[in-house]
Amino acid sequence: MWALLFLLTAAVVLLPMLPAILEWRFPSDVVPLHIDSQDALDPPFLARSFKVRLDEAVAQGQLRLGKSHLAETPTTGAWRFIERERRSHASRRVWQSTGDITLPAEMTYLGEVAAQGSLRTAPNEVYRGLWAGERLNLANCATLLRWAHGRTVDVHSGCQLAGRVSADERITLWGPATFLLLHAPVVCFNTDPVRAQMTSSRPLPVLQAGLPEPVVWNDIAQRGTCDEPLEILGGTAWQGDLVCRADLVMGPRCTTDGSLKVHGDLEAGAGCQLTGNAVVEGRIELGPNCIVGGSLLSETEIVLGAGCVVGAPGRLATVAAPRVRVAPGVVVHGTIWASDIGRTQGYGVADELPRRRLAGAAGRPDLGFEEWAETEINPRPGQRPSRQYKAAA
Amino acid sequence: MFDATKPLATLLVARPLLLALAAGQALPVVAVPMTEAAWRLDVSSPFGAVWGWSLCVVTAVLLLLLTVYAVRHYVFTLNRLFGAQRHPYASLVSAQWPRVTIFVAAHNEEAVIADCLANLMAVDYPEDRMIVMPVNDRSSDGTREIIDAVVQKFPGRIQPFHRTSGKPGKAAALKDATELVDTDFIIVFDADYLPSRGLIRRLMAPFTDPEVGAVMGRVVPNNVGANLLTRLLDLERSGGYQVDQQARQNLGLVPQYGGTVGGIRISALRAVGGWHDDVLAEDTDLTYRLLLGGWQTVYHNRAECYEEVPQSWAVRVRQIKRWAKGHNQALVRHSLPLLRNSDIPLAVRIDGLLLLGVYFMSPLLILGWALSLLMYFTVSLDVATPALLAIAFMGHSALGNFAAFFEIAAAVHLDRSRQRVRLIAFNWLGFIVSAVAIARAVLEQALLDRLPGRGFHWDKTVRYRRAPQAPHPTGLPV
Repeated sequence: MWALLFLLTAAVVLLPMLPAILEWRFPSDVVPLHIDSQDALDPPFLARSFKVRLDEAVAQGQLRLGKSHLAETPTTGAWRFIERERRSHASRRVWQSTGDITLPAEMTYLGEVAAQGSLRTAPNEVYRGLWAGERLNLANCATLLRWAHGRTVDVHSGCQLAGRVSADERITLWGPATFLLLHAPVVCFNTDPVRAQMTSSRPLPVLQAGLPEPVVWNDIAQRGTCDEPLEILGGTAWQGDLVCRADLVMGPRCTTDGSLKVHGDLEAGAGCQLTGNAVVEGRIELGPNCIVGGSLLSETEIVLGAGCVVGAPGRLATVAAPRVRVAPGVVVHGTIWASDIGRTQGYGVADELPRRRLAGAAGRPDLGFEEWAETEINPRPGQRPSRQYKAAA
Repeated sequence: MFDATKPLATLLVARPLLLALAAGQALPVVAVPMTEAAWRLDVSSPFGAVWGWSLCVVTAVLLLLLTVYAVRHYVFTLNRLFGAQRHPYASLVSAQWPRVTIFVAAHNEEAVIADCLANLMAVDYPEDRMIVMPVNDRSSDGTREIIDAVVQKFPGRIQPFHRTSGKPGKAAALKDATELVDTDFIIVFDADYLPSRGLIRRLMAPFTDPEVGAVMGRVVPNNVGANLLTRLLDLERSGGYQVDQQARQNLGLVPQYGGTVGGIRISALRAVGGWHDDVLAEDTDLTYRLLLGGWQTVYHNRAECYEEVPQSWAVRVRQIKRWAKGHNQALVRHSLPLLRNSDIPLAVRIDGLLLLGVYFMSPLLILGWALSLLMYFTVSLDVATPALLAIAFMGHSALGNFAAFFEIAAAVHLDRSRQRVRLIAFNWLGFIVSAVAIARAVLEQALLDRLPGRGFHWDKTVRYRRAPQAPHPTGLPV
């Protein structure tokens, strides 16, 4: 009786320990936590990885790339789609060419497409991944799911870029579009980057030197701090960093040689110039023709007025916020990353793009990719990439 | 005897006290159900009412503290699981990266220093903007020769600082090394760390914010599979960084600079008085001096770096005793200035104080256990109370002590690693060892370390890699 009681007591005590004891004696998860040593903050990483794998597969004469069949585009004549592709209007093969490609219309490409030369898409179609050695041209209302990369990339009206778009030289958005991540030495919105650069080099006249009274300056820390809402008169110029623990409003044509930290919202009037960075917990709104030498980071939204320039040639910068809105004439040297959505505004046509129906369209395959592309391929900043992402990488 | 029927204010105080006591450990309290007009609270003991009431009050205070820490754990965990996450600097991809000096603190690190330097040579930070400075603090083994060999291999990229004299200790060495720096920022690694390729960019990203004085990255054990201890420490690290630090970052509280895998703005460091070489935990000390000076410390969850955790319990005990002494020293130095600083939001001050007190809770917990026993055996109880107390004790254990385990489980879930969470039942082992070690450290610090000839001496953590290994271009552990 006592033995039974002892055994039962021991069982009650040890039963919760059983999974632990099993895992201890028969380890099944003892690998160090994975660290992304290739750095997910490299926007063209997916495109480059694909190109390397594609080149290896072609060089070795393989017929498949991963799980997808490899297909070469025809140099002349019509594309030879298989019956299932023709019927579903969707191709899951990876298409590649050593020359230029113009993609046929009425076809969704769920495998990547790569061209050593230029690549031109068809309007109103959906693409998973596009790689062009030269110019990549995304036609009107094209939708991108994962990534696109080219030497230069032109994005036409109505495109929805749910994946990363990167270029070796320049990305130009010629009309209204939505986007997540754009990365190139020059990203311009319906403008000529040379003209924008000429505008940005003009010095502004200084009407008032130094910061107003509520700002407390610390010489050792080399920064000024202000604990209340601050409004700086137009034409004010100052040197050094400024930390404002409330809203900050800068009048037109203010100039600062330093960085800004704002706990509230930041509103900058037309023609303001900032050589450093602006990190804002609230919203950033830059008026027309503002020039920012460093990066703009907001935890809510960034609005770039017409003609704003961020970064400079050879001095890249980042514009990052959950929501980014960009007016025509803006030039960003570096990266624009909208973790929720980025969109253009002020193009004179309807800025709200029609939400494209990706799934369940008549005669089209059920892609179901939109949410997947946003959450798995483009993890939100700070989020650990999923295993699918690591596998893709 | 306490009759709380008369003043209402006393009743308001007594009622939560009674509830706290009833929800806690073995209690001497006989709570007589409230009649129409009154609460009666009887405490009796063979040693007298003073004895009984003293135990009651001390236990109530301890329970209150434990409850506060338990609630804090739950708030942090729930924030990480369901709250808004703040990663304001994680999306900084392109930037004009500033010049930075990277310190690698080393004292007799011949087994590991080569790997650390090799990994730093493979990071993707612009070469012309990064200077690596191994701070070789009076090493008596082959550390100097190994550093010099790596310097030869990467000419112009490493500026070694061989410190042969001066005050011992990491803070003193960093203080001397900082005098040699001409960059605006420094990053500090211990020699056993293996920086990954993108780590420096990630650590430097928050410095785009002029309010940020220090940045802390995440530490990931790379010798997880060595034994049960390393696996438990892996779980603890996950809880501490993935949940605790990130939740404090989310809530705008006090993420802690941890002394390694972290960056510091030189102007901020100078503004708060530079390195203090008379402290045992220069990292905690600096975190609080920056906080008091109006600077932010930022935690970056994706700035991850491999480290080597202790593989024997003896080494672990020595390590945690060292941390406890340093942390408690910071508690004594910074508690009052923190509480008095009205420029800092109240929530930040309270969290800062709780963070300072974490290593003081272990001796208090052990004291609580002792008090429970004393109360159980020296105070009379009525018939119904023991069952109630047993249930209350289990409830408290589940809600209180398990809060930390809940935090660890949530961290493992967030890390997307599934099976290792099964080991969590063993964490009580690490918990007990830590509690005893910390309690011993506090006693030593309060009593023995003050005796002549018993001053604190630096206890270097044992390394387990035995020979310099070939540099690995990917930065992954080898």
